[in-house]
Amino acid sequence: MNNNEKILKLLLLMAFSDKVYMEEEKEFIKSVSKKLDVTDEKLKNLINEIEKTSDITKLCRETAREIQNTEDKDKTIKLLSEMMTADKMVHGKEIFALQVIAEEWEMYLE
Amino acid sequence: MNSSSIFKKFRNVGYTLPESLAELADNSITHNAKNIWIYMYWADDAGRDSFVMVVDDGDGMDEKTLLEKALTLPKEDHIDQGDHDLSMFGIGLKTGSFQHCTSITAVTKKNNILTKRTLNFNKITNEMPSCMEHRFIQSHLKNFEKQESGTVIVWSDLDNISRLRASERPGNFYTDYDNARLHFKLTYHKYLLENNINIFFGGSEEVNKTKAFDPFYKNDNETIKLENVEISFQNGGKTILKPWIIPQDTQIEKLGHNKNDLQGLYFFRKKRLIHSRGWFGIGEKNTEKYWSSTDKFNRLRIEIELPEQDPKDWMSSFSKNKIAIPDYAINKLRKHLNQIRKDYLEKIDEMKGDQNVPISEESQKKKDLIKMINSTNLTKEKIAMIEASLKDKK
Repeated sequence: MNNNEKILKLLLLMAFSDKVYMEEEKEFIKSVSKKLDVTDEKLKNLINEIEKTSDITKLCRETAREIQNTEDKDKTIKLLSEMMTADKMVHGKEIFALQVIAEEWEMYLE
Repeated sequence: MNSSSIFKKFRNVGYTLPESLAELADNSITHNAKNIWIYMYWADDAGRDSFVMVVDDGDGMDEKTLLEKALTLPKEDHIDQGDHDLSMFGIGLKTGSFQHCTSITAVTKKNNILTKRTLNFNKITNEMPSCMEHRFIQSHLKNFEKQESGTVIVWSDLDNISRLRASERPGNFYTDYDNARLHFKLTYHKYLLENNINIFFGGSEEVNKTKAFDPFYKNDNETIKLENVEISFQNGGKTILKPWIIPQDTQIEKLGHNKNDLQGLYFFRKKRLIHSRGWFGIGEKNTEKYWSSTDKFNRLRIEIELPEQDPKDWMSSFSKNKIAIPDYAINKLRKHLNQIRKDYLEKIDEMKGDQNVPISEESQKKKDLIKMINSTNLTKEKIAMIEASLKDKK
């Protein structure tokens, strides 16, 4: 899996963290997948994997850990923020993904 | 019965997670911490390898204190050490923590000596739980070791937290952070307002710091101070009631309760808020009519300091978060609170009278704006009115 797919996976994990994949999120993910050059088939596979997972938190942490490159980290944060602000409301599940990522990437640590 | 069996029996004292964390913060303040950092790490949906960690930069403990006081049942009653001492029973760390976990690890540094111990239900041990090897904790411990002194408390095996979680809830501690932050914002507001301590949640940046908030709006021009009332009780204890009429147009207070719920009594011990909101079962004399939290008194908030003498009489349990007003105090309190409530209504009526006097157009617009902003659902018409009003101002 390349880094763009991992970034998309994190976005999907954020979207799925409350087990409800909302319409606005679907649209946003679709447009981002195009920008990231992730094919529809790969997107479908990612969604399947996340739907089947029994542990969203663990998968979110593992995926975040796999992204090492600073540019990709920045790109992920930017996209997560865009997804968060898409409906002008910040939901708990969105904070969840940011919190997990911040912990994994040690963004809070001294 | 040994102390570990007792701790097991006291697992369900009724602490919420924020209240238990406050027990740890009380200890930090008692031991002169300037900074308290609170972390909750949720490793997976089941919470198996999750942990909670509280770090402070207080005095730390030597081995004897750790073993004979902090991690065990104290042999003697706690003797109050003065203004900064928030301890009351000397068991808050254990009872508060065991409400949620089965293992408490303390790492403490004093006089350059680092001491580590874990208290399970069964015993105090040198063996550390596996989470202590987690890179998140390791990274913090490395920083901690550079501190001159302080204490780290780690809760692991969060069995009760995992067991009680709703299965449909997103797998994280975010809401717990949020609730704890709200609890701390009120509980320690006097410390925060006076910059005595910094309390951080989830990190050490400015954004993680708990913001100071004054529920009495003491520095607001529109706040009205009613006269203090000193009361003496039959046992020799004394207290002072300090009533405040808060401004009518407060912003949304983000305390997790509405304005009606936030009226009433605020009990403090030293500068720490113990229990607040509502009228604590006080009502009209010799009737079953208790004062309720209605609109009528929703601007009245009253500070009460627990009497220095016998503060334990006012505690409903050793969880230190629930007040039960002792019988010997109820009649006196009722009498004076009745008068304060009358004075409050008079003042409010007086102000209503003043409001009939025409106010300037600008002040009226400002009031209307605040009311609109405070309403949760802005209609298109209201948004249009705000825009028009802003244009007018330009």
